[in-house]
Amino acid sequence: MTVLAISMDTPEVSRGLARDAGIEFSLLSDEDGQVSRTYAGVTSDHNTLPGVTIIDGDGKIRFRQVASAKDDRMTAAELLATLDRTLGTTGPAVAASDGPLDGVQLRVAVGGGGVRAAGDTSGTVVGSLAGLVPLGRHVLVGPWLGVEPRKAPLDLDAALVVRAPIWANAGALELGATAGWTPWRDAGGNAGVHLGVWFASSPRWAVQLALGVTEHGLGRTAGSTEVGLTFGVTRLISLSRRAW
Amino acid sequence: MLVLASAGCVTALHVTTAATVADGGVAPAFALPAQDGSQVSLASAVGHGPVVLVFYRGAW
Repeated sequence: MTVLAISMDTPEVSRGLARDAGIEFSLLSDEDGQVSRTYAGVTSDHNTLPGVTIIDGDGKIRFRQVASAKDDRMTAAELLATLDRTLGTTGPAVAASDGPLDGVQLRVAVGGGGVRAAGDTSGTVVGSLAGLVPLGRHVLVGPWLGVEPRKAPLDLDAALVVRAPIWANAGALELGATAGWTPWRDAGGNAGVHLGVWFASSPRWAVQLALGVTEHGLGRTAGSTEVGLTFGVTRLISLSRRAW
Repeated sequence: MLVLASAGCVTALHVTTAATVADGGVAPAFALPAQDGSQVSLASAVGHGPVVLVFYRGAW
């Protein structure tokens, strides 16, 4: 099997890359973009779209993938698995590529709800910003900032999320707990729980819907209770090595 | 929202791609210079078995 890597770099640039990265396969220069345009696509800023084409020994195209963005590129494990599937070969075992459940999560969510304090209930906006690190498939932990402008502008919390994978590991049902400190207004300890559903729409992005309840002013005579429904977006960060 | 954002990104960059390349079709022939100055053709590579074309760009 032959690997031909094609870019619109000059042969001199490719020579430098091969030397710096220790590459032994061919780096071909498609400076006018003709081959890139035919197989993958070229952007108006005169650059190829990253992609992979697998051609069998009869010269026929068996697989073609074009990445429209950096994050759409295949990992090395995905490429090797695709080669085996496409050509019917069986290569050496490779580490499974990271799935959505394996990524570190950066989450932002906003929504609406109500806050009850001293017998009065009023509508409010709620939001959160969190960084969650997976400890296996079922547990996430990390810092959690909660926002609610009326009674508890900022919650500085730690979160523990327990999840049950669904949809072939592309999603999860979640039960989360947050606890921490609220610096002003209903200052004091806070604690909350939320129930949510989380779904990865791509290897790098996910969305989540959650219903949560948070109690503020713990340990004080006056506090508030916040209930909110939020919709959010998760950016998934994989720490595994990319294919190129 | 994310789909629209990524679609907008591609539209803004005016991606042009040929519609003639398809799975199962014969891979269009080409010959390009390699980093060592030699000319490498797809036909000669296919003569040795399957070929993987990896399109990459300098930055990523």
